[in-house]
Amino acid sequence: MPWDLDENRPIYLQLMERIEQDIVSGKYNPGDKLPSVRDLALEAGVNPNTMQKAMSELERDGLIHAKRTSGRFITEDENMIKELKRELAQEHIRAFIENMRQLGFDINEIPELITDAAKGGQSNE
Amino acid sequence: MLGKQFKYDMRSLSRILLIVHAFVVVMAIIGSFFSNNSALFQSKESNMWIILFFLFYVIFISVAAFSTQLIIAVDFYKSMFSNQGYLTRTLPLKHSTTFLSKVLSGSLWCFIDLILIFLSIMFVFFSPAMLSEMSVTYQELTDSFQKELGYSLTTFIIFIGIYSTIGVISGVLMIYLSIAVGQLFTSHKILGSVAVYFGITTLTSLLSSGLMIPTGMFSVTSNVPSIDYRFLINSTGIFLVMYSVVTGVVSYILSLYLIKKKTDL
Amino acid sequence: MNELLKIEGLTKRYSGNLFALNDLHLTLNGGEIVGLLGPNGSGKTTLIKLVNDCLYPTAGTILVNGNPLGPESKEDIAYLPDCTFLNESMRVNNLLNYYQDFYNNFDKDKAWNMLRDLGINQNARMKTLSKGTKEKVQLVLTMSRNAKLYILDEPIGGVDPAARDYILRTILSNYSEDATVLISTHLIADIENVLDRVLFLKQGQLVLNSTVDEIRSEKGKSVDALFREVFQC
Repeated sequence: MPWDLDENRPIYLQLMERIEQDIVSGKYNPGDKLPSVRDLALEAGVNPNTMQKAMSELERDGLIHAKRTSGRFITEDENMIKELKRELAQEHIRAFIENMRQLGFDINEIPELITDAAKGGQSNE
Repeated sequence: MLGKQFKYDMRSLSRILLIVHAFVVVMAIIGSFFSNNSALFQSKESNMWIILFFLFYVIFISVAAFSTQLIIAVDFYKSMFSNQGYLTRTLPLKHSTTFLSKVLSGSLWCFIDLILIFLSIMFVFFSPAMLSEMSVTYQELTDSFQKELGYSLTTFIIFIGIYSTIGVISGVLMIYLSIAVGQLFTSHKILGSVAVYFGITTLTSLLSSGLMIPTGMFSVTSNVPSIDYRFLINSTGIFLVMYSVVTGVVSYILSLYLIKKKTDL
Repeated sequence: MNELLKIEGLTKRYSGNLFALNDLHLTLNGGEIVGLLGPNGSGKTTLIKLVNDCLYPTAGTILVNGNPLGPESKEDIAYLPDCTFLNESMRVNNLLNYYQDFYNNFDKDKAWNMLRDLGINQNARMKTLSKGTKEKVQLVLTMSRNAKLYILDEPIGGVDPAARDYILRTILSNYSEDATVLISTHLIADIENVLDRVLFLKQGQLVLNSTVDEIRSEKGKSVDALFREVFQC
């Protein structure tokens, strides 16, 4: 199944985000070998050149490095990954806070909303 | 590449033409059976059936000859100008190679058709039994032929063979040219091709006769315009053959030009 | 970067002063998947037929990998027209042999495997197959050629979504860095993620030649949305 992509934003950015997510969530472990550009492009349902661009950007950021003939590997720098995880979380949280503000909530009301939602989720299980 | 194209062209034509000509052969066998058994000619009733058969046979032969031309024309049209043209025109071949292949395959089948029909007529109408019915022996036939015209039956047959071969090729080229010209029309392309075909064949015949008049080969002074067959092996024959060659070459050049430069699928 | 397709001043005029294409200039390099987009009647099919020597130009030149149109350009191009172009009385395996006979770059094994994956009976005569299956056979034969330029005219037009996915996957898996795929379509949303570059054709003129990422970053919208803007009725 092709990856779910937003049509208004550049594809390569979205591919980068998806791969970052996969790294951070543990789908790819530090030091793992990534599938080839072609295979990943095929899986994502996108143009290999676009996937290539995403990979190059991630290489520049240091998340991925290429070993000449063996392909591309995830970084073994666990700190970098942790940092990235925090950054991504912060982005989601900032967006969440903004959404709550738009609903009219004050920032102080948010922690309670969160604990309620978490408890409610647990009692439903 | 020419060989490969020719192989496929022959396959495409043979699909139907083999069946048609198988029937021609079968009819010839039946017909020659009838004509070789003069015992069957005895009763009035069986005579009627036999006459009906021969009538049917003649019609059948005409249909076979016509359908050969038609199938060759249709096959050419389909592979060059219908949707199949998208495949034919995008093969890695020169247009001249493709066209030559179709000329050769069409001519070959026309020639086979001609030979088979000629042979079947020979077997049916000029079998030994028939000849004896006409109180004529083969020897008498050839002798009187030689006496009347000044050249032997064999020479005549050879000439007819050469003229027919060239005529067959020229004829196929005229069919192809008509189809190619018909494609230039924006509507009613097939009707256009048919009209062009009749136009071209009529014009070339008229031109041929017209050219023969001043040279005396074609006499218009007697009651019936006619060819003096005594000159067939000499001047008239050579003229007819050359004329066919010229019409063939012109048709070839024009057709190829239209295919290369003026085809819109 | 090799100039795979170089078109200069291409014009096609029909009787009555109708210009299907007017002074078109276009250069395509290898290694791209390019979308030729435009409404019906914009000249997409005309352009494609001209490049494939199925129409004759009024003016202009076309070079395919440096060669003018002829046997070399036809060997380099794998063309999938928008109609049934195969001889319907032939069987599927005859067609495989046919392609192998004429094209040096035809990969018969690849074609055989694809047909098998699609569950197509190789002994069947084309005329016995359904329209969708015929289209798949034609696609398989075309994509089994190792050509430099693939030209697909409306390959996903009348096809169900599953088949559409299959076709796009086939195009992607055929991707090679020297070859280019030119896809003409009006179904943009389905195909946008697969394209490198798009060409907008409007009334016989090239009005846009840009990469998909450029459009999305510079204009902040999808190609589909931009198309609707450019071509609104």
